[in-house]
Amino acid sequence: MLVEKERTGAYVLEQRYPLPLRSAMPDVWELWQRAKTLEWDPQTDIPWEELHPERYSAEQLLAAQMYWSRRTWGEYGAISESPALLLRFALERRLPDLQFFFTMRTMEEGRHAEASWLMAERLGRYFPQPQNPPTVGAVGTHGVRRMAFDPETSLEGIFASLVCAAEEILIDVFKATVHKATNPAVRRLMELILRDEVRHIAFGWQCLDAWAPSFTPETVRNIEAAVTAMIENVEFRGYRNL
Amino acid sequence: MSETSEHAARLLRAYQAQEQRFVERRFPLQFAPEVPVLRELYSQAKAFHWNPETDIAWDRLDTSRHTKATLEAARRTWSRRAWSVYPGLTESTALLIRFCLESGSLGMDAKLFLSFRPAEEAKHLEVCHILAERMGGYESDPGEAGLARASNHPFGQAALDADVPVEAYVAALGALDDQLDLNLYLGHLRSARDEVVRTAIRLIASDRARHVAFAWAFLGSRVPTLDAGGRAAVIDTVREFLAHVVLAGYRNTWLLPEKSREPWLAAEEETARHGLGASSATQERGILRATIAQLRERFASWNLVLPVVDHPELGTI
Repeated sequence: MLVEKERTGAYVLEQRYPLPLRSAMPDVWELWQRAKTLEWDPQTDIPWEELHPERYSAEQLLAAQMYWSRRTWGEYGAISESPALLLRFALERRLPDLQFFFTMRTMEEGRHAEASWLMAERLGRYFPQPQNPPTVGAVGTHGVRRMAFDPETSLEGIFASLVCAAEEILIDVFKATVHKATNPAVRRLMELILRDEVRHIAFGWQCLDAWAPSFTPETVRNIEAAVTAMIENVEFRGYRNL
Repeated sequence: MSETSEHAARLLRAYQAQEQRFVERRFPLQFAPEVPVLRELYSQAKAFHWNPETDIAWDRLDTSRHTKATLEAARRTWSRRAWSVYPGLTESTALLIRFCLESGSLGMDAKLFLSFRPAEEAKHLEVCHILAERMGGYESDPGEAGLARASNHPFGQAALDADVPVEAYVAALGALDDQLDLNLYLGHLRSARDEVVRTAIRLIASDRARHVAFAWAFLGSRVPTLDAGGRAAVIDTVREFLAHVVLAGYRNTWLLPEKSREPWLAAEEETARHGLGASSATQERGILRATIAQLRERFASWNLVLPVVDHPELGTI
């Protein structure tokens, strides 16, 4: 079946060699190295015993359950969609630094989704879907998987729109929120997610910085269009803010 | 557009066409464990994380104890191993996307597990690269068409192919190929005498053991529910994979076409002799047969019968 399809040429074969593995982007390589030293586990690295959901009213708990459920859906997008970018790096034979780092990003996003789900659960309940059906479209996808597999969409545009603009909004919202978290378990969780997200966004800007000298006017137009589309069609439609 | 970017565009369009055959249904998005053993493997992955840079005592790797010829052999062996690890980054990523596209709101245990696997593969790749570099220099190209072909298969693309049932894919690449890879690593570990190389292999093998356990546990949760067509797809895919990929030398240099074996086979023998992380062809032959026997036994518990496969040198397997 699978091998038969390969033998009959149903799949396009990668041109894999030469396969360089030496770092060529030291700043991005440093992010990969750093990510490996900062792994954490939502089950064991959050002081769950300090959550004390019994101290909150039913109304407060419901609000928090909904907030963390919504965060779970958003983080899940980074498991279901963004990993397609790693495939794109490999298929376009981008530098190894990008590929190494992005494997950690996928792992970290999985952790964020699990952590957000756990928080909702431990606050009493995780909601597996938006209660208002029209919001499903708004919170369901940012369309990055489709963009990543589309050769007409430039990688620089995807970086600028997703890895820089959208992540920058996410991180700014988080920064504005984390210091208001008085509950120690919630605060620790937000700090840990933020620590990972800072690396994710640094990755985006470092790549754009490195590529910027070779931008053509067309690349710049692609970036502008992609960022505008992300803001208008995803952020303004309520992906993060209903 | 350059030839390289034209080829990349063709590859992307192939992936795009496959992705568009699925309709992802994301909600209701279930997170609670469905297959506890898979969730447990994910928990273990989180607990047993390691860092190639800091968890291997690289400064204790004393290359001055070895001759130039031995180091040349070892750098070749670890370079070839790096090429065989590299596809894991994209294959496991593509499989993760496949699960997300196909399973809709279910299957979170497998998705969480697979969200970790690409990073684990990347760590293995980093280890192979560092070892090759320390032995004298990583070689980025097989430089021989036969070996290049045998070590470059479009399995990432196959992971996203709706015509290939996910159970068949996991059976071929997990239960057969990952299992063989694990057994080979354990064989290399038995032959390895250098303390640094032993640590490196042990760390890789501990992850690989989890990958293999995932494949068997996943199949255990799915195979009993398959209809006759699904079961036939599993068998056909594994048989094809064994006959045309494994026995064509994907993991074992001694199985490559004769003109493609050298200098890689001699390098592995020399690396094995000096305990730097390889097994002899004779040892690998035993490991391959044992792996196939092990696979047949486990398949038999689901009443899946893997037909015999003929090989010009090995005879009937």
